[in-house]
Amino acid sequence: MGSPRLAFVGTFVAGGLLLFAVGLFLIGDRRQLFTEHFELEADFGNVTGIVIGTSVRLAGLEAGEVLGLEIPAGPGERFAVRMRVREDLRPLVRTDSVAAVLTDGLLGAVFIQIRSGSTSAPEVADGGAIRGVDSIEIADLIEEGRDTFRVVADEFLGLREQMAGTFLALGETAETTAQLINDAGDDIQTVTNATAGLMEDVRAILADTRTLTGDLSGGRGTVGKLLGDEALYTHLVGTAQEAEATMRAVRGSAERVEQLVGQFGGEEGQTAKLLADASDAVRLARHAMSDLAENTEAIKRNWLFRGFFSERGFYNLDELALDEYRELLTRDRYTPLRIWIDGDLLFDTDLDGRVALAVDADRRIDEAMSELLIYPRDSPLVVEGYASGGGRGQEFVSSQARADVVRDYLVAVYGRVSTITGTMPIGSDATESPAGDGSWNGVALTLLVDPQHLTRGTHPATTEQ
Amino acid sequence: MSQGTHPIQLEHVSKRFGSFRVLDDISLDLPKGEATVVLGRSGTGKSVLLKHIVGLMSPDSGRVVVQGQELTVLPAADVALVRRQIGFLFQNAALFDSMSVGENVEFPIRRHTQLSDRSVRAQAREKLALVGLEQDYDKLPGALSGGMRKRAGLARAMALDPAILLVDEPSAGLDPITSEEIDDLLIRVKKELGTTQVVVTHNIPSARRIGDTLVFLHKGRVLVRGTAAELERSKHTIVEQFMSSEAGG
Amino acid sequence: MPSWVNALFVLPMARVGDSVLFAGRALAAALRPPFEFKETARQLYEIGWLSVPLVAVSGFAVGIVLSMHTRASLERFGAEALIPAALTLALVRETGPLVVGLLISGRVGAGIGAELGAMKVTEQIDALEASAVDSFNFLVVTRVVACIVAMPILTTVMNFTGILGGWAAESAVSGLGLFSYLRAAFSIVQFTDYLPGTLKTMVFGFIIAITASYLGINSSQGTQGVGRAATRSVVLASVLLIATNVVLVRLIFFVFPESAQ
Repeated sequence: MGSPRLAFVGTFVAGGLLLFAVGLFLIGDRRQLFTEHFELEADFGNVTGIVIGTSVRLAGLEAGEVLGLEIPAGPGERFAVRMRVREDLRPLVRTDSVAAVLTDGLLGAVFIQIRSGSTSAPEVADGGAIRGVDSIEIADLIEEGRDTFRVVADEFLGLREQMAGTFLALGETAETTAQLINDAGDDIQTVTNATAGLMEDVRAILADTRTLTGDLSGGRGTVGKLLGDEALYTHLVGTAQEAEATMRAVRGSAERVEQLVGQFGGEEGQTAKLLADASDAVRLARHAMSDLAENTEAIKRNWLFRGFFSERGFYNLDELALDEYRELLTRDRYTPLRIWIDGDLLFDTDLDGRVALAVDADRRIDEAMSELLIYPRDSPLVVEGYASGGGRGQEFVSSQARADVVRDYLVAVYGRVSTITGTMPIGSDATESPAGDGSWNGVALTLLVDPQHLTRGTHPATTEQ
Repeated sequence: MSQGTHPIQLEHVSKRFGSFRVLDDISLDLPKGEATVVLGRSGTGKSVLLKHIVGLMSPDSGRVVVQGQELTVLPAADVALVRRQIGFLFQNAALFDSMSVGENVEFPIRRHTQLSDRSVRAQAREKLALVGLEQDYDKLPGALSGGMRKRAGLARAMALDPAILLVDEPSAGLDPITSEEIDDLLIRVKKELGTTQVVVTHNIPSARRIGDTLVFLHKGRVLVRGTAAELERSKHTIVEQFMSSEAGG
Repeated sequence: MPSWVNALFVLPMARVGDSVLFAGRALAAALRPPFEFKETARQLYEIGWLSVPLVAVSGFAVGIVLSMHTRASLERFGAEALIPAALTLALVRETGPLVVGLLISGRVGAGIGAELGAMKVTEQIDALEASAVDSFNFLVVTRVVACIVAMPILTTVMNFTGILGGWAAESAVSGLGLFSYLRAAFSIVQFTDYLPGTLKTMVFGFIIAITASYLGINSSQGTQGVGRAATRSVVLASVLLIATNVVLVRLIFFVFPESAQ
């Protein structure tokens, strides 16, 4: 046994142990075994998929793992989930932080997401508890947000009157401030208008969310998607809170101006300074409000909120009568782009008498779709079914069957999201049809495009394939 | 018991494999410093006899006493002590394939002494020089000829300067000239070191050269014992046949 | 007793009993001095170090193949992000240990069977004994210990080269960096997947070494017997290993219920 050989044995054993340890460390590192921790608890009504070791994330970071699960004393009560979280993340976990159970993609592992709380709330203590929310409860969270909005709006209404009074008082004592007052007055007007518009938007968003969560409480996929936009939501609420704080400050400085004006009857230099302060405060408020408006706008733009459900029922067109559907298309919100496909070449009847796609149908549908692919994939699409001949009942049945077959194809082949790909059986009545006789026999792919995406070139609103 | 004169004593040793009686009540005293050659036809238990002496096999009945110690009743650790005083040259040398020639000779020295690495190598080299293989220290056994292997085996058997040397078929697989060289080596070892030797063979010329005493085994028993000349005069047909046929060949 | 009973039952069972005693003796001797450190180190060199290239290359190839398979099946669900984790889990839990077990029963099992068989036939074992060396301690125990030590290490080598192979296949498709891949690879692996999976190969090592040593030492005379000992070592060790694995996996699930998920 020469020493080179012994060296190889040493390399083998030491290297092997080292490699093994690297593996241990990679696992341990993920589980944060080697960093300081604190414990906290959250309660859930539903703990599907949570086991000891389930990972906990905070702000997108691996934050810890689940330590244990306490089974409630009786049905209807909630499960307490004990977690271990990295000590260095503690400043982010506040008593108003909320934990939710999420899934990493369609097949991914279950994990617990902790949302960092608000600055005003105290840090959670070791062993403390935070709220756990089940997916469906997201609407309640938004409800909470609405309260903040209401406070903001109220503050503003109050502020406007107060400021008006203040500026009025100032105007009487100091003429030199006239210009300042004018500026500030404009700002206040702008902010007030923005607030009114904002409240309208927030109300709409809330209505959408409630509909969605109410109807789809069982469907994890879609609600999961909504939860995925949680960051956006958090941001919105945060901005609203900021706005509220700014508003309070504005009110505070307005009050001080008022006081001073009352006290001194207006020494010119001082009043001017005060007025400038007040003016700055208002400008700040305006900034805060425009931030808020921006964030509200962002939420509105988000595909889930983009009015699909504010329009009621694109994801569930069955609820709509034909007239309602037609009326919907005339609204400004969307521009319908319709592509007509002749049914004679598109459909076959299989041996059981069911409607099926003809041999060459995929090519025709693909041609039609190629016109629509330039628009955002998340634009709603309605497959309108048309059939003529055989009486109204038969026309309805056929047009439904035809629309369904084409829709299924689009979902399967084009990966269209099924909740925004609907069908509408229309019968034979088609005033806009290229046939010219006010009827159609086949289908029409109707893409509802946000007008702001229509700017590119002069695409005809309707085409025939 | 006269340890001084008889380092190896077998008393009524019997051994059977199944129903086959290999050794049948054998009693032998082998004198110190002499070479005893065990003759006999194949399968008459010559090798089994050697393995009894070194304790690789135990008799079914009877006693084997080596250097005054009765192997059959000795605890394993003491058997090991006795074995240190015995060198064994196997039929095909039984060199350890995984070690070089030098390491083969070093092996018993390292196992049984606390010598420094340098002394071990020096002693091994000396033993290899004794058999004329000092040039082949680092060769692997596979690279050696039959005669060289046997000489290397002898060097290993002699590594610890044993009082007793057991040799199994020294001429097996060798040409007459090489065989004679081995015989000369054995004779030299006996003369120079005073080693008691037990040599199993059926090569008569070789037996004549080496043996002070010849023992003829037949059917598990000692048929004749004596010098070469005495055996030639033996009246036993089988011995007569054996001696003449082999002598002529 | 009819002779067929003897042939079909008594003799095979006697062999089983004999080999179990053999295994027990090896285990006891492994824990009791004297220890043959030098010879164990030499065996570790032969069994462990010299197996590294075989295991590393196989691991890399296995990693590539596993990656391609998991990609094919996970792509359908749009879960490509899970490929590293799925591959690592498969590798660490079962594929690594079992493939190393089979590779080593091939390379080392045959080696031990043939070497000990040859040593028996050429009287080298007798020579050891005649030199007052406990041949069982020197030949069998050293190999058993070396196998038990080498197997988890080789499995670790297999796991990591496998992950490396998986990364190679993955980066060819998606250009993912090694460290991102490693992080993703270990993202769902638990200690209860990693430790039992790796450590159970010590049992594999024991089985391989014992089976091959037993058959080698008990091989019949002649070169044919040596060849037969080598072949039977590989076959018997592989079969025993696969069968034991079933029991071990069950046992691991029993001791670490988390790993069954």
